[in-house]
Amino acid sequence: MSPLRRSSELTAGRHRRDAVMRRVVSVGAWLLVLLLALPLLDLLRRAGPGLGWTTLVAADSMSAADAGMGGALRASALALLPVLLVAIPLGLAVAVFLEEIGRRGRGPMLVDHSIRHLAMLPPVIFGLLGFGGLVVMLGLPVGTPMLAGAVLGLAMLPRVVLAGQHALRAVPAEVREAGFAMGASPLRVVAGHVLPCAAPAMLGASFSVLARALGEAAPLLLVGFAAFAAGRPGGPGEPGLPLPVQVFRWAASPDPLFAAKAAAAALVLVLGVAALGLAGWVLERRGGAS
Amino acid sequence: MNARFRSAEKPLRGHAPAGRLRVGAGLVVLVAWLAGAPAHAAARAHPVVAGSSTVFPLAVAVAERRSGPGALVLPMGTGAGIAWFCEGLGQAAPDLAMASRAMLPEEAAACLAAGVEEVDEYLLGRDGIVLVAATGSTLHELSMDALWRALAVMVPDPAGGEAWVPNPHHDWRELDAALPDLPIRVFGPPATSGTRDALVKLALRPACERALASWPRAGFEARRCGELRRDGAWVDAGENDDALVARLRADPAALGVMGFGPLHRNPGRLAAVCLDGQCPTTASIAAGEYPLSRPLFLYLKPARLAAVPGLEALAGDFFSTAASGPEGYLVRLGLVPATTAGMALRVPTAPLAPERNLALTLTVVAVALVLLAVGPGLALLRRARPVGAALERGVGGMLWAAAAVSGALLAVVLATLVIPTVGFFRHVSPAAFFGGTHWSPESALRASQVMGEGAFGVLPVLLGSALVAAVALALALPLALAAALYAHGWAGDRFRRAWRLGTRLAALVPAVVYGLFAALTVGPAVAAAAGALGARAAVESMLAAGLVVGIMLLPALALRIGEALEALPGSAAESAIGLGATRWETARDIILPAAAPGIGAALLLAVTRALGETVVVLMAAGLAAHWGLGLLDSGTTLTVQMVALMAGTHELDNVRTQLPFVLGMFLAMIVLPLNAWALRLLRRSDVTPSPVL
Repeated sequence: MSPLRRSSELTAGRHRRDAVMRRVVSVGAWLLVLLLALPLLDLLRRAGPGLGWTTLVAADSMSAADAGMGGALRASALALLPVLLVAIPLGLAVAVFLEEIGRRGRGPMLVDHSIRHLAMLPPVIFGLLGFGGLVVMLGLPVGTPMLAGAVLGLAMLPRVVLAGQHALRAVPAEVREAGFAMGASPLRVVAGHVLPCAAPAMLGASFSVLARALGEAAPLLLVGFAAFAAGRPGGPGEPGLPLPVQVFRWAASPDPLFAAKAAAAALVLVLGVAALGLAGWVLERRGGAS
Repeated sequence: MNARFRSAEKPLRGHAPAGRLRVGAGLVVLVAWLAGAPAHAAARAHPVVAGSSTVFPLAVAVAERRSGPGALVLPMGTGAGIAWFCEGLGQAAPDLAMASRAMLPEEAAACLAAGVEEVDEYLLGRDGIVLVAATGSTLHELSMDALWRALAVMVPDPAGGEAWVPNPHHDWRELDAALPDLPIRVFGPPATSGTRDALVKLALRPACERALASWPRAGFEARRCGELRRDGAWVDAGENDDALVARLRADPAALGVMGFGPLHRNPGRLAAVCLDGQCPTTASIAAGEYPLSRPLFLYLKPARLAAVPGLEALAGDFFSTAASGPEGYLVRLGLVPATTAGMALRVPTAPLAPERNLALTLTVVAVALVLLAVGPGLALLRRARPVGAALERGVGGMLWAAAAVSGALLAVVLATLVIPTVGFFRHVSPAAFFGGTHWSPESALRASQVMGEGAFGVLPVLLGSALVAAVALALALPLALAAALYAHGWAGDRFRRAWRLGTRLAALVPAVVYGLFAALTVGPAVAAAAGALGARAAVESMLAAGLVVGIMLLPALALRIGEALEALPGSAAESAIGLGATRWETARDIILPAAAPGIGAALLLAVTRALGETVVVLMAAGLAAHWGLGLLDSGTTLTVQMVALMAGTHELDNVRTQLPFVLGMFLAMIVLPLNAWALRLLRRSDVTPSPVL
């Protein structure tokens, strides 16, 4: 057997193995896509009897036929306000401070570390913080969008900071150097040069954070949302269960119509989350971020 | 690149004094409004009703028929509801308590001590405590004695002899040859529930005392008569009757303990078990013939009537003809109305002083100041030509403050967890908690409640969390790795772009959607598949929960692994390909080893996410804690127990109310080091992870 032949056989074996592995990983990839599609297809299949005008606009009810997610939609919208108006600006401000101003100090490093850890804590822990801190200490009324928004805002704040830092780090150093070379102070460099560059990525990440907050239920179950809220909340201080909690409650019912309504509400939730995520992606793209 | 610089090139505009004045005045008004608004907005103007889960559907039916600011109705059990009700006259406590037993002297004393001097009691009607099974169950008839011997923690030795022994019975046939050969498994309400109190008082304690009278007392004291088994035969199934009905439908061998209402509302789904020859019906409960019947009450704080506009009408509606009349909607829900006349409300003598919430106001003002500094402050910095040093210092200081506050949040979280934990470990020994293999967190809410010493061995719960995480990662890791490799090494640009957007969107899909999928589809499918293979599986199983958590982890895990692969310099892989290595060889020998730290970090983050996952497991895994590796059984996790044990009372002075915080602390103690490790790996591998996932 000539060495040449052996080497060609060897190559053939290597290429065969390559082909097999190629098939294996592509099957893995498509299996992943299939597994992710399954829950959504299942929702579509089950939501049928639950779809309808009543389900979309009516307030919650004991009887499955009359129950709707109108109150939950309003509660979710109201609960996102504190996230949008407080958590996101505050988080971005902290990101600016950590990345652009207080980079080298020991204090900022400590803050940076603690925020990283906070962002990775399970959200349910923020429910305990919400109960101990917001309900017991600050006296926010349970079962209201105000409290839901505050808890979600706390849970999302560290993620916003990380997202802001991510966006700021993508800004090339030359932008800052140009500003400093013209004699601008650090804050003016940030306000006039760095922020405009980082804005698209920050905006995109903010939409993702909103989508996350819209879908989060775990911390809310700990602060008095495993309940029934009658009617539709007219303001942040009136009782209202956000949409994911509503899905959770309906899913627990033995009535098949409630299960269908839960699927319909989950579908609406997925649509809302996808719309926010997509909007974030488009804004990020149009702003020219990579 | 040009687009990025456009705004920086804009000429800086001069400042306009008039505009600035207007902005300044606006800011002052805004701060003033913020200082006043929270106290006003946080003043509750809607009724809050809390307590018995038996009365809950009735209260919901009343509340949903009222217009105006809706009421909040919380099912938390009579004990917890009254404890919360009696915490004070302020808006933090409920205005109306639902109870499936009368308020105890001890609870009334607590009310008085908290300044609630006047409480009105209204008899709403009667209710029966029923034992139910899914229709088709073969258990139809039970004697009270058999019920007690099935559920009591200690019984007279069935083999004869003097002593009382820990309950040895495993199936109903052992108690009475006439009973079917089904395992003893009873789902019922937890210790915070009035139904549980009534079950103990009306059924178990009398049977136990009868037995004590005829048997020698060796090894057993009379005061332990109400204790229930803690070996899995009795399962605390939470305060949600609907969920309990669903659970019974899923597990036809099990019995459930609940009020008469759910039985009445689910005629085709549930069948009652008759006790001592009496079956629960509206007539037998109204006549008092059914042995386990008890009154339902509403408790009202008259002092709250002036503060909460809709309260009087809401309470009155319970007793209207439309509700409690012969064809009333409450009667259709299973209420057996009280025969006596309804209630007449009083006008309170002195209205409550408005509450001032200083802490909340201060918090809101502080947050508002920081926001004003970073929003308009930064904007002014950008516009004004000669920037005042004061403005810059102010904005910088506010940024510092914001960062410090955010950083301090971790300390606040830990403090929230540590303080109740310290209280908890004053009563429970750490050794029993960390080393015990028995989880049955029974604990009395009141001193007089008959309740065993709870078993607080956390290991079965921890094992449940670990099992779910293990199943999830066994599914998610290979698939995510394969998909990330495919997208990185083999797929074309178009696939890769679609892949990036797709995973990013898929990672945002809420857990509750996956939970619904698990509860409605995967759980029954797993049970059916196991049944076809000859194994017994519950509809709620660790396997189903783990699989669905695995699916949920896929997008984030694949995205993070993809990031780890993309962070590598391309040159090494290109040289390998150039030297004739195949793509697989390049991936195996060059890419994967170099990306190992980043992949490790992705894996660790997925583990912490799986350990902290709450909603999916809550909807799919069940509640009972087992010390074993049975993936087909239902099980429980740290997060599920946190939610299930959250009593809702505001005073965290009790082992039971502190327990969720202890579990949260425990979870944090597990998750924090794993995250620290992941962060170290990330630093080493130069990967900047996607922040929002």
